[in-house]
Amino acid sequence: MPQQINSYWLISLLVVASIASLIIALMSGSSNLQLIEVANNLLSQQQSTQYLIVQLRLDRALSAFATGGLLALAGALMQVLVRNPLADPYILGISGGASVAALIAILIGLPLIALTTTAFVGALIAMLLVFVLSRGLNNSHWNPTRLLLTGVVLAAGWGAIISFILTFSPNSKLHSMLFWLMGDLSYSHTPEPGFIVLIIALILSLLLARSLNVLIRGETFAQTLGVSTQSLQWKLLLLASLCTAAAVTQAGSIGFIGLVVPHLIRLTGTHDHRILLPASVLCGGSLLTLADTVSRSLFSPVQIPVGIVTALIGIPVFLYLLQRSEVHR
Amino acid sequence: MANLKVKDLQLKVTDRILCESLNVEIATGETWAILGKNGAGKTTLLHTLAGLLPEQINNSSQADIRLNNESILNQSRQIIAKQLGILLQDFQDIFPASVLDTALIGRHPHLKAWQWPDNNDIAVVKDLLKQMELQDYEQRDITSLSGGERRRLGLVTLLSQQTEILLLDEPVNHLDIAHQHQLLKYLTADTFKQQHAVTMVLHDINLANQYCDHVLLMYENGKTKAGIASDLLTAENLTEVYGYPITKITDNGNSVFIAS
Repeated sequence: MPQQINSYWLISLLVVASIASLIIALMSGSSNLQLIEVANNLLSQQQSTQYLIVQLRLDRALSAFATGGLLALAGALMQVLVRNPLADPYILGISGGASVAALIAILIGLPLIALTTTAFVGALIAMLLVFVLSRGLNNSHWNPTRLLLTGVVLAAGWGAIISFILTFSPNSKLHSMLFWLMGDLSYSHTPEPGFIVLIIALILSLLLARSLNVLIRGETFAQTLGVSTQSLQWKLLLLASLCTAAAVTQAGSIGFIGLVVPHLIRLTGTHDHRILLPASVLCGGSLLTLADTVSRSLFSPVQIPVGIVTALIGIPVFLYLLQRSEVHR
Repeated sequence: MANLKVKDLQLKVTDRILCESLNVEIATGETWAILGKNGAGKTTLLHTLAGLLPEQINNSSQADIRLNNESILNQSRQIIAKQLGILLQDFQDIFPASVLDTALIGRHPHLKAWQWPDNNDIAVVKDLLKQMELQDYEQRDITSLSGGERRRLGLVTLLSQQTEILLLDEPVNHLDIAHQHQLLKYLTADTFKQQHAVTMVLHDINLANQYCDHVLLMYENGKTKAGIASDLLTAENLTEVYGYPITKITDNGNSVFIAS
């Protein structure tokens, strides 16, 4: 099958890109290191300054990778779930809930670890709200339009609360609040939770992946081809929401990755979710790692929110690929 | 020999009764046409037959639909999909996909979770694409197809599912007259007919008359009549079904229905 061979190439290429992005992230920053220095310091146990720099960068790069992967996976799943190419991980307001919780935590001056936990709890509350309200009080038939509308309206509600908090917050807190809202990895020093969620979610969604190829063409159509769509859609909602919650908790709301990465992979001609999902994870991970490297190196020592960089890199790349694919159609 | 038995079925949309205690049996070798006015419940019936609307079967306690002698409510979607396929009235083409991939999706019920379509699957699909004159479009994006081409691709997807029971919702919709007859000839050709039970919703009485041996008439008041086409396709019955005067003209043993 030529298609499968293409898929293997795509995945291999993305694995190489992922490793490359992590190496670049370790080499660049306020002080640039050579590749050999990075390698030496990764392997040695010597507590030199360089060693500390490499360890710090490694944690941050891995956090960025996990967050990017989570966002891309959540985006790909969400687009199938609501069958809308404009869907992104934040469309159901899960990041809104996390943001409100995080801003309150910043406002009352909670320490970092408590901030993260609070944000996660906020995301879970937002998730539960969407689950319960989209199902309706009479437990009516589940449908994606209702889910989408419920999510969008809740997201608008969270947005209003965020504006309210910002209006009444003292100037001293505003800077860190804005950074959190725009998406920022400078507080992310523990990549492990994100990675664990990413790996579990990826494995679980790969088990569903083949059914997604059918579901994306319509719910009734999928049923006629043997897919139990009700349970599949609940699993999708749960997986996509958990990925989003984990990503938002790790780094605030970083735009663009979740929306665009799945489309980037589709533009390569990959539509089978058994390839599309892992490819999105790798592509989203390496893109965010690179974007984060740029965000902390470009105006170093000043760091800019990574969300700005993802948009500035992603938009032209995406528009270019879109133009090219239109020509070839 | 596959069969689909409908027992005491009552169809309801909101509070309106579309059909009252319908009893019918569809078996391999038969070609059925469902005729009725807009909103008479033809699509609802077809979807209920496919097990897509279990709530319609649960409307009354005696009602049941038995697919190969087992209640359709007790069978998983996967099991149903290997025995019964349905062509829906329209398609949701939101994401891009090639014609070949769209045709291959019909093989879904026959493949395991990590299986890719093999040469046999591809051969089945390519042969069907050729039958429906779509062989030159394999790599085209489905959004670039015309309405009729998309319809024929839908039929390829359905037929590649290789189910013995076929339900088709307006299969000739969007097709030009040549493709309408080619399709119906394909579906009613002897070898195909012997291996399939075909039921289709049609709006053209003359196509039903020409190609179907059984008809199911759905009246506006919830009444239904099911049976041999030549018995039921009368000017009187059709005038009542459509609420519009229809006459029958017979010439050399061929009959044609015209609306006055």
